Amino acid sequence: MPSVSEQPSVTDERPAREFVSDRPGAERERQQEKQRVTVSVRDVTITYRTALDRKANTFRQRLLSMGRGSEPRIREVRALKHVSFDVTQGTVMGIVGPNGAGKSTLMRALAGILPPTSGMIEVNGRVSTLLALGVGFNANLTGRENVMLGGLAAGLTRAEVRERYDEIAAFADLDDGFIDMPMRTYSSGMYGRLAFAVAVHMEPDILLVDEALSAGDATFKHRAFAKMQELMAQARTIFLVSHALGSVVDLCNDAIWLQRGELVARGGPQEIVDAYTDSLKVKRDAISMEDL
Amino acid sequence: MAAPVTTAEDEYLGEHHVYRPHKAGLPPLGRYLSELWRRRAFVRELARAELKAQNYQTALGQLWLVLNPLLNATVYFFLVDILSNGKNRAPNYITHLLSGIFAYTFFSSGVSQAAGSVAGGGKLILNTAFPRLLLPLTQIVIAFFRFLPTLPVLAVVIAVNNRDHITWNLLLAVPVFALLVLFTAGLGFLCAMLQVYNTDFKNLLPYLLRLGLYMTPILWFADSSSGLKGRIAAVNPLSPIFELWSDAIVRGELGPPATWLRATVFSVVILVVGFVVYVSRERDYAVRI
Repeated sequence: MPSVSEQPSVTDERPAREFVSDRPGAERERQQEKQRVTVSVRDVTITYRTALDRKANTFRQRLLSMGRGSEPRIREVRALKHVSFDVTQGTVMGIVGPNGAGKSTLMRALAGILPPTSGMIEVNGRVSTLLALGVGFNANLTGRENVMLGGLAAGLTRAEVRERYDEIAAFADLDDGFIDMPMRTYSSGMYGRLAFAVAVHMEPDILLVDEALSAGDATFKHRAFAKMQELMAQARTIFLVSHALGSVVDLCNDAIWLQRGELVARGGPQEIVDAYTDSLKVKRDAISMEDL
Repeated sequence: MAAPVTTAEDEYLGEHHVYRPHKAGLPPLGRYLSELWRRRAFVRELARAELKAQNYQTALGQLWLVLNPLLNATVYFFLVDILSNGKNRAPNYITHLLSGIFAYTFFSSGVSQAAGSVAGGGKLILNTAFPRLLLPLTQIVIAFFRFLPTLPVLAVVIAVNNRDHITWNLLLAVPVFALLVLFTAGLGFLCAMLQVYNTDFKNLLPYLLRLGLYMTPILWFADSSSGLKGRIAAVNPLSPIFELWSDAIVRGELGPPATWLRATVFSVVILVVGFVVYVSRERDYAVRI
């Protein structure tokens, strides 16, 4: 087991004052539920079986290998190894680590997209995802149609999406007319902005953001930060994967460091980011993770 | 903030998921089906979007949906005429052939599109958690909409060619088509699962579908077929549906009860098998594509 620091999250120190409720009693309810564990990851391991031969998953290959009596070459990749942690409501959890550390795999597992190979994940609440590839937008549809499609895919009703539409469009703040043009005409920044706008307006209890802030320009980043702080203040839980370590420190109140599928450390964002950047400067294998 | 949508929000707050290691097995059926039903707007929207991409709304796009099976039927008409030396052409053959080709076009496009829906649904599958059955289901809906423009053509053919057999029994074509929809959906689910695990299945499928066309009483009449044709019609689970289809449309007849029984049993069995096979593995799809 990698060492997991036991210190509690700093959630409780963060005031939730700027939250404006639209529901009587919601504030009090949320206060009471604040310490509720929203995400619980228990000893989760995820293994991908990837075929080295691109044609391994074909009838042809199966027949051939039956004839030869040989198995297609399969490599097992353990993307996550015995990862455990709990997250309480209102936590903004930064996840740092080098490429291939298992960050995106962890996000997909939390969203219920990838089943764990062993272990258990418990999630309390509605999840909205903003993962690395965009939200499955169809490039031939207009932005407006994609907002509807994205919202419906996330499980909202048509009326609920319509209700949020103006806010989403205002938030994405695309140049005039782009919202009614096919999304293949969008720049990658505009694409990312609309995707972010849709994801944060699903009013999720748990928001998963994977490297999505990098596409927008400075103005948009600023607005995205503000929106995430607003969600945070509403005691929603956010997971943020980012290589922009500065934004992890600014936004998060808790952080974990993943490396080669193992949870190396958990702690305050500054502490984790410092440790992680230190590790990048020296030879990776030489670091003693136990000290963190 | 948007106006409160309290009922929905309470529902979300109560949401609780536990993800455990995946074993092939069915999720709680009631919850799965109600979740499917809750997402029906998504199916409609996705179908609408894809139809739009296929120029469904334009006159030319609709024209092609009619022309394509019409041209196919013409080719088969000549083929059958040549093979039989121009003899033995049964009365009402054109109505039989056209109605059969139209329905089979729905069947084959539904199955092949559903088959590709998961393997080709990459981004959506990797980024959003939803009941995966929605993807092939959407393709069945699309196939149905693409079938609709052929109906007026069929009506004209019946009116011109079949005036003597227009009775209320023509309406029996509706329940027969409903059985075909169940059959198509079930087989589509099954093929979608096969294609995830065998990427070259899509190369094989068109041949299977064409073989299916020849083995189903579309180019030939079921009852005029003793010998090999009769034996094929007896074992082909798709055959009874097309026998009833032809009985209702071409002859305005009810069709034998035994055929109805076989058609119903085969459709339901294929649907249930396809559903179980697909859904019991659906959490594995994200890992595979």
